[in-house]
Amino acid sequence: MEGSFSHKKVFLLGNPNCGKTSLFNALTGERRHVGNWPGVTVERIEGGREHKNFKLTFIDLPGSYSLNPFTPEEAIALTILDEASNGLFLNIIDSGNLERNLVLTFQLLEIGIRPILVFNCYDELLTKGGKINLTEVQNQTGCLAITTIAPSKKGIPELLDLIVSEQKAENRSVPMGLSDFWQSAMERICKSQGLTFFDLSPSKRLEAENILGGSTEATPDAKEIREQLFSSLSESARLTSHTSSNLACFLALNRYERIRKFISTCLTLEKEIKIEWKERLDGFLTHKIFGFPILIALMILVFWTTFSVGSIPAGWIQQALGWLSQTGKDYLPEGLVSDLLINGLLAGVGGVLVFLPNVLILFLWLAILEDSGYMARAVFLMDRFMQTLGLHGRAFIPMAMSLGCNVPAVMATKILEDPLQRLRVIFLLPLVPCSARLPVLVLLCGAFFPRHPSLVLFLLYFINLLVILILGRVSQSLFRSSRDSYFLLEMPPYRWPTPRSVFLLLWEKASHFVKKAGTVILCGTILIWFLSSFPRTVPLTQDFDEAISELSKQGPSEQIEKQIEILASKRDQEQLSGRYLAKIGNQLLPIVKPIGFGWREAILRFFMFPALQPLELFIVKVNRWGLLLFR
Amino acid sequence: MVRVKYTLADLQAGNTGTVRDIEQSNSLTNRLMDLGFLPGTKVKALCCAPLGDPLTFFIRGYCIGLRKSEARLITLDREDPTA
Ligand SMILES: Nc1nc2c(ncn2[C@@H]2O[C@H](COP(=O)(O)OP(=O)(O)OP(=O)(O)O)[C@@H](O)[C@H]2O)c(=O)[nH]1
Ligand SMILES: [Mg+2]
Repeated sequence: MEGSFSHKKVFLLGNPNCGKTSLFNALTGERRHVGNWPGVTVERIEGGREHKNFKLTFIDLPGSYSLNPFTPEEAIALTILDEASNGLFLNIIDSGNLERNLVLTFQLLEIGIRPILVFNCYDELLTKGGKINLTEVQNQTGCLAITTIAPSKKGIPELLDLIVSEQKAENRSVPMGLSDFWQSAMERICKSQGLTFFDLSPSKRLEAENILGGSTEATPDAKEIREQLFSSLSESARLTSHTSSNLACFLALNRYERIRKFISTCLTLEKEIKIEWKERLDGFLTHKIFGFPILIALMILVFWTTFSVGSIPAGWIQQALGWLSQTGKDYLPEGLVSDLLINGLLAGVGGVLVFLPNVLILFLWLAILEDSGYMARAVFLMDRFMQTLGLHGRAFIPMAMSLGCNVPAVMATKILEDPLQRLRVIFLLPLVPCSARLPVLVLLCGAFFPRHPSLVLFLLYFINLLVILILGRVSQSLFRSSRDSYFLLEMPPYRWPTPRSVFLLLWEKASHFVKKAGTVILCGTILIWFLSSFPRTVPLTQDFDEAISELSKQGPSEQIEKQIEILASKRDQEQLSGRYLAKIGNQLLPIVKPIGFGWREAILRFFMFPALQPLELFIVKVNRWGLLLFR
Repeated sequence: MVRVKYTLADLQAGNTGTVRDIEQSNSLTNRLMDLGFLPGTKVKALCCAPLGDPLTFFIRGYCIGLRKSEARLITLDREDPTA
């Protein structure tokens, strides 16, 4: 029955953070990145599904506050206006924040687009004590309307039915357009260019509106129309109290006035319930004095739990592995093969598994930070500090995400508007130790600094941070950009991360980590095994084995055991320093000696390179970067 | 004599003011208007960041952070802030 399918394109348009991607995921079954801060989605994403003989293609877009684009991402959303007029628009509206969300809706209506109105986050409106009268909405706007709760998939089947039944996004007549005053001015502007408003495509209509609002350069004719409009508006505004010095302001005022009327007829607020804990929490988390300490404490908590709590289940895994390698040693004949199996492969696989708890805890924290709404607050707190590095506070988001994985973090740099800043952050990001690098670091710290592995690890992280700060500073003085950027960041409401979404996220991250880190670390450990076991015979200063067996013949006593131990460790050290690993380290020594490093540190630095993933980043993302930078 | 303007950046945390006007017209001010900063709108200053710069405001049912330079574009009615 392939042939009987009809195709339909459905575009998801709405304010940032209103739940477009959540809805997209619910509609298509995909698992795209969702986060409780504005600007998560930065590019057009497509996904499909079938419903009642229809093949539906859904297109998720970056959020936009209005049709007057302010960021490059919003401009992406605009490019689809005409393409979509043969498909369908879903205008996602955050019900908890109706007034501002409706600005986009009303603008769409003004230029003759008839979207399906999806009142998402309906649960939040209900808890505030509000209700939307859908029939009234449909009567007034001429659009289909529905309420949904994306994370729990409430209203999704009904929405699919609506999508299938709805015909076309564009509407020649404008059921709920601009007020007559403005509408006639707009039609006159079109006429002055020899066009008819009602025959124009949505994007052309928008152009006319922009000329009226003053954001587009106007012809002399249009200027005159604007001046007339302005003087008559100021005249009538003198009667009311609200006046303004420019037309754009009058236009926005007019729109908000219509929105206010619309809401008063379509929304019933039985009793307004204020959620006080959220306000208090916000006052606390962004407090002038406590804000910073809380942020730092949170970051320390993230790291502390990642390492210390994570090490408990890691210990169990280690025990299991130890048992496995012991039984392996017992049953396999001694030799190079068993050495490779046990010290190379098993150690490698184990090396990955042992870190799974740490990595999962790290991702759990990142999910909580992102879904709760704290990310935006962190940006708010960090902005001034980041400015001293010549970066926008938003750079904190990719930096924090980078602790998990560098690749999505590079994508997240799109929230930085200045391309030069974006480039600088992209080059700083590989310096942030991501979760896949953590095992390598722990492994090497354990191998080379057996006495204080965790201290060295923390030191490494700290040095890392310093290096990032210094390089950030240096890069700022090298590439000072003249463009002043804007802050203008909506603080999303605090939300509880849903257990389901967190679980799914962790599951995904775990399998991703095992796959990705698995290959890198497995190869790494086998390489290290090879370098530290070859050449097989190393000239020793004395025959340690002989001496040990002689000692052990003298019968068991505490002193002798100690001596044996000392001899054994001396033997191992001498052997190790004869192997390739040490030779490479010694080769590197002249480079690192001036800083006061020995060959062990040199090796450590050396092995950090395969773990640094810039190379992989380059290959995978190079085309994306191209788009990103030279857009 | 230059009259010192009373802008959103001058609003003390915890106080509520009424927007008088946004005088300039560029993409930034247009955005502020689309976000609801319009003559007659009530805005409450919530708090400022530790280093004093970005400020948060409550407007039309949601919360937004602005830098001082951005808040300065929005002039407020001079009135008794406690009223
Ligand atoms: N309570 C509630 N939360 C929701 C609902 N839909 C989405 N959310 C949450 O809202 C936040 C934002 O969701 P996203 O799907 O990332 O929003 P978006 O519109 O794609 O955001 P951008 O890509 O940044 O424009 C997430 O934390 C979601 O869990 C809903 O119906 N109810
Ligand atoms: Mg999104």
